[in-house]
Amino acid sequence: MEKNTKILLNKTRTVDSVNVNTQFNISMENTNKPIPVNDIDTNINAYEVFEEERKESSIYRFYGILNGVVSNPIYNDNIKIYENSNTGAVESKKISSSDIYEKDGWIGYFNDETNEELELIGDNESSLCEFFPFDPGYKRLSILDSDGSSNYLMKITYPYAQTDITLVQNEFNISLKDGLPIIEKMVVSLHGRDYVAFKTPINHGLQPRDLINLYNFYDLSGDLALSQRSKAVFKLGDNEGKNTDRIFVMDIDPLDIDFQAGVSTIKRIKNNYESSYYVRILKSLTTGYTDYDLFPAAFGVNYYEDDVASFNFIKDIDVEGLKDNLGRPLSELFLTIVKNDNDSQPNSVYNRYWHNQQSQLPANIKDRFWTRIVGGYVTENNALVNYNIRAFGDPTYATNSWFTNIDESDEDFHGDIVEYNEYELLERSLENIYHRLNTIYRENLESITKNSNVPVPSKREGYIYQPHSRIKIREFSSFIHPTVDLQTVFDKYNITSPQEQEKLKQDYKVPDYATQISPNVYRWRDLLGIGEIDGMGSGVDYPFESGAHYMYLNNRFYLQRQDPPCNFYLTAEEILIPQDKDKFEDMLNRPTFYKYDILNIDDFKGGQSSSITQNGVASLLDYNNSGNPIKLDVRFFSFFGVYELGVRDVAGACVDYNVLDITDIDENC
Amino acid sequence: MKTVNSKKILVSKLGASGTTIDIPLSTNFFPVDNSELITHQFVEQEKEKVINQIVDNKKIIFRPADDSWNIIEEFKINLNFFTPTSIQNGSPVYHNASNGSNGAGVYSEIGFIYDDLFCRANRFIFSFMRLLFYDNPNSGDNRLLFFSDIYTQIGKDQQTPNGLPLPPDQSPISIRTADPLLQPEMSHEGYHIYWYPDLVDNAPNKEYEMYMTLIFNNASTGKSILMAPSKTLNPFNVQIGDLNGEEGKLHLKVILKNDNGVYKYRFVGNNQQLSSNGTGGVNLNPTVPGPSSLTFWQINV
Repeated sequence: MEKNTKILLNKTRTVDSVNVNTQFNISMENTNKPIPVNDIDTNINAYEVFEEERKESSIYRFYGILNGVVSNPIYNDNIKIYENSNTGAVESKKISSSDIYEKDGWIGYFNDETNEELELIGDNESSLCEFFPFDPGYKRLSILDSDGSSNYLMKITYPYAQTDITLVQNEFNISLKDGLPIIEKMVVSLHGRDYVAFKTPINHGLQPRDLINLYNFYDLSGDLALSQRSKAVFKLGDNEGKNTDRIFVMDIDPLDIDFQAGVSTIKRIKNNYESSYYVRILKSLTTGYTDYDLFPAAFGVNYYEDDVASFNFIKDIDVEGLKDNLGRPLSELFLTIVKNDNDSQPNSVYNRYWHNQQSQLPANIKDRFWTRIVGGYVTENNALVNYNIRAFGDPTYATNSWFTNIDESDEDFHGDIVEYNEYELLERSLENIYHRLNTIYRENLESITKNSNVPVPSKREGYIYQPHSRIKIREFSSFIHPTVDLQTVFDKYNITSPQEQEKLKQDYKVPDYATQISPNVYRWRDLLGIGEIDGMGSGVDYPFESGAHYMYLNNRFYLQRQDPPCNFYLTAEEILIPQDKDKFEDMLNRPTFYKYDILNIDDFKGGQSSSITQNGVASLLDYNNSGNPIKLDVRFFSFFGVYELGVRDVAGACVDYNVLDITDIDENC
Repeated sequence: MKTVNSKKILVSKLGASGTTIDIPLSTNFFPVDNSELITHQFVEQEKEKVINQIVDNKKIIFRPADDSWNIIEEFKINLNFFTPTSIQNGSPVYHNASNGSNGAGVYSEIGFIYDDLFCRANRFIFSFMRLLFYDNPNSGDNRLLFFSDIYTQIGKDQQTPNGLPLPPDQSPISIRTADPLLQPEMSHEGYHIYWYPDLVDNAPNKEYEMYMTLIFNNASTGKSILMAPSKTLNPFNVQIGDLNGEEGKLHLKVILKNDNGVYKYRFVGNNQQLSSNGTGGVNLNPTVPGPSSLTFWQINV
């Protein structure tokens, strides 16, 4: 039992004393728990929990396959390179034009001698009859590379900024921010009436009946009121209805209006909101080769017998807090693939050979195989247009601009040209960016061969590819959120405190990326949740597992020719045998060799005639009577494309040979 | 007019200490139930507790490395069994006993004939070795983490220069497994280990340990034979204590490592298991040209 304490009242002590209060501290501790008044049952909805976890997660894991469509029509030389097993020296042997083959898009040769080159499977045995592509071959261009030096670097990037470019050269500093430049005026006739049509260097993104504002045009009639009125697009395309992406027609007499290339510009307008035009800049979220695994896809071979690659990003991509170039939460990422310019071991046989060939070039390039990567767009062919990726190397474009010195290790990359309209609150991609590169050897062939017996002009056609593939991770709603006018609320209730105004903004759920069309008046599109599909079908849905979003990417990667030559003409040269034997042998080795004819066969009678023809080239090369030379007419293909990019060794797949006499196999068999 | 009672205190009655007047303050306390608290706090907390934590099931590729953590493009596994003749004689010895029993045995010693090899008979191609990975090296106390199977193969080692299978008494029981990217023409089974990266990242020094054993499943005889990366001198007297533990001969330690962002693994043999000690088969850095190799020997008859 606890101790009792007695307290005597003061009045019991003396008669004069009065009682006073005496206080005790008594602590009271409550150890009871609230007791529910009844049974509590609650259900946990697994789907709701899943949705909640999915909504909270900002982690993405990317995996998929990459179907590379690559080949080597742009090769250095039609030679076989090998290491002499006796001397250790790197040697080469010319492959005659008749021995050059195309196999699944690759240009090369079938080995005709043993032990000059190891078999691809590496068993140190004969490589007889095995196909070898000319350099650059499989080990520099394939997505899957077995030499230990990756040919491409994959990155995950996102748009985080934007920039302006001067798309067409001009003296007035007119750039993309001033609108899409015009480069050509045309006349389009319809039902006996002429309409004016204008061409833009890139896709204009217009549709019939779109309204556009015209800037810096010449109003020849004086009554077009171009500065006061927007004009409607009447139709798209030229007289034949072609090139609709870059030609638009307006209902204006061509005689009433004129333009100045690069200075005259247009801007699409929607409900009095003008579109803006810019280039997006992408930032990398991954850094190197250790961020992903790359391996052969099971049973993955494409139509061209190229191995399909599987990839799996080990690094998780967290998009929490990341904003795009418009300050919005990320709705798209990009799978960026950049060519690696160090795609083989420095001491490989091929590198040793080319470095030796390039030894007299400047120090900064002689030990490289690839040129630096440049970036640009597939634009119209006009010498005033900058960033024309297909024209890089064309002397006509010597003063033009491109994005230069791109490297796979870069953190930022230029991206697509985009139109953004503040009324629609949507970005529209107009042109995708391309990268271009060539080999140092081809690009500088003229310098390399200038002191040789057979100088060869440089071959400036390179490879181009699209580096960025869009990954849609979220989507904005098809519907614009009704305008929220907080200013009216502030005025009505006299809310002036910034804190209270901000509180109200939050209560109205105005997102921080909302567009403020006037003070405290907001418009925006809701960013749809994952798995949320709106009435127009917008929205995304993909697996959520282990706390992360799994996105399967099924991408193709095209390594294209910069300017495939779709046309050719035949050139002819007369030579004498035996005087020009060496020259004839060189001619036979050129990949563009077509055929030869003996012009003076009638000068050779009877058995003499048959002796110079019976064994073809061998008979000609055996002929030594310089007193009675054989006159040969040797013919070559000369392929040409749209741009002046030097000698082309291989025709584009678009070339039409129908003008030639083609021998039917039945005629010979 | 005030309705309170007035009290007078005479000054002469005041003592040395303060004089106070007790004024009772009473409150009417009405107990309320805690339903709101229960609904909004208690239930939510209990719900949180009952929902499973998110478990990250992501597995990634680990590549094999040698003793210096350099990735190896390929490695070879040799199996060496007691020869049938020696078993019949009652004193089992391994293949090539006269030269230390190193390297692989031959297929004739485990019941295969030439036709099996030449025709890739089912009983040959369905024979396989199973690599079993455990969390610790004590049998009966360890948990199986995963296993991977590697099927028999007629590879380069089992062929003549012309590509024909070697006779079974010359055909080594070995497999080579290689990187699918760097050696696309070779077999890749068992080359990679797939494991959880977060377990490795959170392990001390970012090195995660597991232990491997090997069983050869012979489709010809229907027998599963336990193998060890160390020779057994007396198969009739195998003690469990010799097999288990870090220094036992059965379990081969495997370390998985995050090496500056590159995920690798390597086999770490103990004193009994290192080939350099003459008793084991772990040879990741061979002194003669050739692939890294692991040799396993039959444990008991």
